[in-house]
Amino acid sequence: MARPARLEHPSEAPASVLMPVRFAAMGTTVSVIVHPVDQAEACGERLRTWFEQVESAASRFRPESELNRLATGAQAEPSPLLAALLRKSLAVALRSGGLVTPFVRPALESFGYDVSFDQIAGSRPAAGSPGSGLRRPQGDTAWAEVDFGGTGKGWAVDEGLRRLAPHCDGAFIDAGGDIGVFGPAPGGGPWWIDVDAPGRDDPPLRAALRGGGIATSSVLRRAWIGPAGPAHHLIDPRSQRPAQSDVVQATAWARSTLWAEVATKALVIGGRGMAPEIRTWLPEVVLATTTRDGAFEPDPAFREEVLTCAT
Amino acid sequence: MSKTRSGPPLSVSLAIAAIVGFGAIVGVVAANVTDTQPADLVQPAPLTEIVATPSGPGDLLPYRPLPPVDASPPVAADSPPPQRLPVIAAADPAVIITDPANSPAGGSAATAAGTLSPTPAAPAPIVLTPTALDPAPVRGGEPIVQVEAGPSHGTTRAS
Repeated sequence: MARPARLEHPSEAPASVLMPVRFAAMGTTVSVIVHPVDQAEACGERLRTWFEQVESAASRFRPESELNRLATGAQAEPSPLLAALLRKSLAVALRSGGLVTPFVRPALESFGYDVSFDQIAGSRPAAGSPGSGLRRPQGDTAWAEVDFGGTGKGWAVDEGLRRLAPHCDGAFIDAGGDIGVFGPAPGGGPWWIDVDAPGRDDPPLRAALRGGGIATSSVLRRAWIGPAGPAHHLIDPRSQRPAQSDVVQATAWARSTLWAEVATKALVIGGRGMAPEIRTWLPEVVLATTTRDGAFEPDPAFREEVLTCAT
Repeated sequence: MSKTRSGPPLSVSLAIAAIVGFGAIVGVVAANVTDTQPADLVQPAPLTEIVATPSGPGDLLPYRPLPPVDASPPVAADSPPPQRLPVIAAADPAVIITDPANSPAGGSAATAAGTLSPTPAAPAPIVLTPTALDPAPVRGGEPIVQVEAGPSHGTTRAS
């Protein structure tokens, strides 16, 4: 596991050009910005330790992870960390009417997503035939059905912010595009976050956040060509197949990174017609979608409001 | 000569196994939730009780629309943002999940002799206390035109 980069002269970095501390985790790069800047290195180390704890517990790609030990019966009970993550995932499943559920591991692996994309990139073409590599543990417990996916990453960001909050005035955590913020940005203003959209060289909008989290899900990433044709990692639990809605990418802001991630996944799985229902169980959510015809449709709040969920 | 399979149909056996398996996992979680109280920086709001009824062992969390969990009416897409309300830190309350395999309402899936009954009762609903779900905070943003746009701190993208 890579250790966070060290800031050579953190105290000399002006607030406007704070350099994030970065480290690798969960198959992606995690970046963190905190202020005052003299807390950056210590907060980066705290966050790296936290993400390592989550990944050691919840990864399905680590044979010795707690999740895999539970799946095979080698471990009887989950740790408080994994129990908390599962409890949150079950709450997500219930609130979303089962549309976003952790019980998709068999479907993901049946379509070939049985190794991390890091390994895919290193050992076979991204568009190659799936299968091979690590296989699902042949357990007979319900844990063998669980894949936390982006829910786990969003939860890790939220809990990471809680761990940094006592040590800084403001913090920004970016885990591969799933972003959570705490407090004001350096200088007291909001955190400005560009929103990516497929097929565009420049981000079509820049959102202003004073709290909560923002996340993006897409069927265009973590996608591959399998025996049954194109596949991706967002499983529709109703069909147990990769989702085939009219939305190819979605971005959401919500009270937390986890709930933003859930909203994007529900929108990609359920399609644009799901948006009104999402707003019933997540009233504060702000959505932006890219549909199959390439249309990018953000809620006006993304351009008009500084998105705040707590005062 | 035709073969006659004794005992319950395979589908029933698999169904009961799935129910018991799910019961075990939620039971384990329920046993651990008291150990962790991750706080959500939100204020609990009065919520209506939500009951999700498994429609079958292979479909423990079926997709179906749930009623709004907030007492407030659904927010239309073009509704104005709600008023800003103070939000305080509150402990995330414990989830109480009824184990469908052991619930009296769920009936007994096995006889005293340990054999599976041919027609097990329907699994009991999974009941979560209203406070188990994260209450929704209120969005209250100032107009972005009053804030000077700054440089980007990052980009949200799919990874």
